[in-house]
Amino acid sequence: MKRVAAVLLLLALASAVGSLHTGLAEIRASYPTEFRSYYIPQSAYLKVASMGQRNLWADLIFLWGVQYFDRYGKDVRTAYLYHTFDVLTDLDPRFYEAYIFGFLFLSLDQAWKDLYRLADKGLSANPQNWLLAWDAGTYAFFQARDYDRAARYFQIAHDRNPGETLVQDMLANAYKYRGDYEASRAFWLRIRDQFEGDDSFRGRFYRMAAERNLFDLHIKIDLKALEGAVARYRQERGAFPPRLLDLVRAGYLQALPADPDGDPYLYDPATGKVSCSKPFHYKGEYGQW
Amino acid sequence: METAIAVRDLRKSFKGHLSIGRHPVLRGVDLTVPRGVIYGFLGPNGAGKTTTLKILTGLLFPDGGTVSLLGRPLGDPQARARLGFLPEAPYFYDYLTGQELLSFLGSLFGLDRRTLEERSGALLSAVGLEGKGGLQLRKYSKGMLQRIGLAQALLNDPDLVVLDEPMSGLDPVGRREIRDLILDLKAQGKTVFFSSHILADAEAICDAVAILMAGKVVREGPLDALLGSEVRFWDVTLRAPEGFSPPPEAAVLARQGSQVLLRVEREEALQVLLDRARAQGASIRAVAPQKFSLEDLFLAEIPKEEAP
Amino acid sequence: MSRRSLPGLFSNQVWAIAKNTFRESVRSRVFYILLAFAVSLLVFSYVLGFLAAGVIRKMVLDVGLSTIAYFSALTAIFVGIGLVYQEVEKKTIYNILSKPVSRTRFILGRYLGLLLVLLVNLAAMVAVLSAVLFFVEGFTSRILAAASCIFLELMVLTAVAVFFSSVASPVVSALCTAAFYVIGHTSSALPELLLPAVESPLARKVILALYHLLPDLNLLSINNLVAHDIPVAPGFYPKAVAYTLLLVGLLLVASALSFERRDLV
Repeated sequence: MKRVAAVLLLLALASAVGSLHTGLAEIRASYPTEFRSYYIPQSAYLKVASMGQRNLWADLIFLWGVQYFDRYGKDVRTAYLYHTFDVLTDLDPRFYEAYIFGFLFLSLDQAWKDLYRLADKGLSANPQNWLLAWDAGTYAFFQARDYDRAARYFQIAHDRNPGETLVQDMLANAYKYRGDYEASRAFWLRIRDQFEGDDSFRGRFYRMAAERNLFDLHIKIDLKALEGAVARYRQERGAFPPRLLDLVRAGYLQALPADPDGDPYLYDPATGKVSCSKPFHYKGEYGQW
Repeated sequence: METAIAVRDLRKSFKGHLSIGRHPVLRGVDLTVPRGVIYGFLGPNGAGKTTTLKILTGLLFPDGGTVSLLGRPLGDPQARARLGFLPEAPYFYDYLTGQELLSFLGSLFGLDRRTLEERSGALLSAVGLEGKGGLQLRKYSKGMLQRIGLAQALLNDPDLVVLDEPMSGLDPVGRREIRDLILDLKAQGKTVFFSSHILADAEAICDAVAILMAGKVVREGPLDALLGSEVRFWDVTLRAPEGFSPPPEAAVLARQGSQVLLRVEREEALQVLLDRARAQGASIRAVAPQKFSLEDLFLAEIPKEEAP
Repeated sequence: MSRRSLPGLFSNQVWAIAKNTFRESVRSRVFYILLAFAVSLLVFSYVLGFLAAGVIRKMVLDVGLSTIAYFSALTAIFVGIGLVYQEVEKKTIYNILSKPVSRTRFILGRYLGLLLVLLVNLAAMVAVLSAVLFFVEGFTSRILAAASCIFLELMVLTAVAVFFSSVASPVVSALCTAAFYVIGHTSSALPELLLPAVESPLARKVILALYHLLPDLNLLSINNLVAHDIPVAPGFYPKAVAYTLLLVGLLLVASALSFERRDLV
């Protein structure tokens, strides 16, 4: 009889515990998401506390982080995101995937400054890795539209992996968007020469891209020079030159440039605007050429 | 060498509880064990017997005094090579079998496999454990443990065998067997030194004894010399009829129904008692001469020690 | 009658005690429980690998090597602390030391026996890890190098456990050996974290001196290198082995010294 009573008591206690557990879990679920976050200590502490197994803890934080930030999304990203990946990469600076995921999450938040900080950290810790620079560069180019930075990152990627044509392509683009037409042109020339005589799909693709870009850059360089000369003429003479040839006569230009087909550039003396007669402008998602 | 064990002024004290003060256990022990004898080391519990034995076998270190084993000073490993030791209530690794235990301990002597096998086999039968060598020690009874302990003490065919309470916890049959084994060891020319608080065992087989009380040896010497060979008194058991009156010199020790136990001191008084018994129709059940026993010796020493 | 003289018995006696220690430890339940846990964790690392997008191999390697490091350290501690103490407590040591075996040889034998146990333990765990790695097609023979370095650390830890076991009860031994483990793995925090935060040159000297006095077990680990396929620097192995042997020598001498004159009440 006593035994039965004891067993019943046990069952009663167990179910009481079970329902309390459910109740407490519900309370926790009712809090706003940011309070549900787990706290990740400073990396200094973790470096010591991990007792030599830093990789393991980096992995665990990574596992947790990827799931967590994916699930809870915007509510918590800004609060803990950079910190998490910062700690993670402090523990294991060569953890490539951590950087990549970090960039991804940070870009969703458009936290560019943090992304660049993470990227710089990753690049100095992994001096041979070019993919990191590439990845950071694409975020800078396509999303942040910070062409200066993009050029910097693509340049690093190119330095670390000179043979990769795609990098050269994006680097050239970044220079162009930044306004470094000469540098961009140099790259396209190189790309074109690289695929000279190469009749594979890739070869033809890049040669075409190179030609197109060189054509466009030729125009842009010329237009820039012309606009500069016009502006100087105006500044010194007080009025726009009546004709482009006057710039040469007055000594502001060595010779009058022509577009790649040999045709002259169009000029409107009333506004001082120089333009190209070719309808060769590319207007697309990535801006106007 | 003449002596198996020579101990002079051995002193040992232990730290008191919570390291306060010192608590002396041995206060200057002297004893000499000649070769080839069975020597009993006796004393009440707590007198310091086990401490002395542990010092002899190198488990404890003395505070003062000198000890030599088989002519060599303490600490010389050569001495322990000719020594066999059975600790009190021996503990062994209970997952080993008897045979494995002997192999392990024997290998510590550097015995090669063949000698070890032969010897362990012989020893197992000698101690009465024939066939039990394959049994795990956890399954051994107390008596069997005592026996395997003795076996391991003899693995190196020692000249000196030291046993701490070898008969403790054994039934009468076991005690008898151990006693016979000890006598056998003597017959092989070995010296046996054993401690015990059971005097009867010692009295039966020892050639010499030392009695340790409160850290000092109060009596030492050959048993005959200590006890004398004379009979002290006779205990006589009679079945006497009603109205039997003993002679004046016979003291009645006990009376149960018609059985009477009487004690007389002199031989003449014994004769008088026996004559009177026969005369009055009492039948004589037993006549037991009692020599001065070890127990008497023992008890005689206690008041001396307890006196301030 | 033995044909060999006592000094020549050195290796025999030590080996006999080592074998006996091995047999005893292999029967301890703690040993098997820890091994079971370790094996389950190793297999679990495969599951963890699934959670992580595309980093299965790194996950398995990291979790695997860390598990092996942690659990073999635990085994060294838990089996090691009783090594000398239990013998004295249970008085089984009387049977051994009353033979012509010096206390130093006894300590050495116990130490070597435990090392053997740990070696077997380590081999089993490495085998399981190799199997899991094969399964995820990420096997590298460098885990053997990593395991060897883990073994170096175990040699030191075991010597510490034996030392404490010869002077203190299992509870105290466990705490002290665990403390040694923690100190050994966190002392690298001194030059890494404390030093940059301090400015006075005297304080810096003190911190550096303290660091060089304390053992740094992280120096022996190459787990992080193996996980990232970074080659080990050329002078590393001989220096690491020398460091280990010196530390072990120090500890064993200390154990022998303290145990030689101990009263075994």
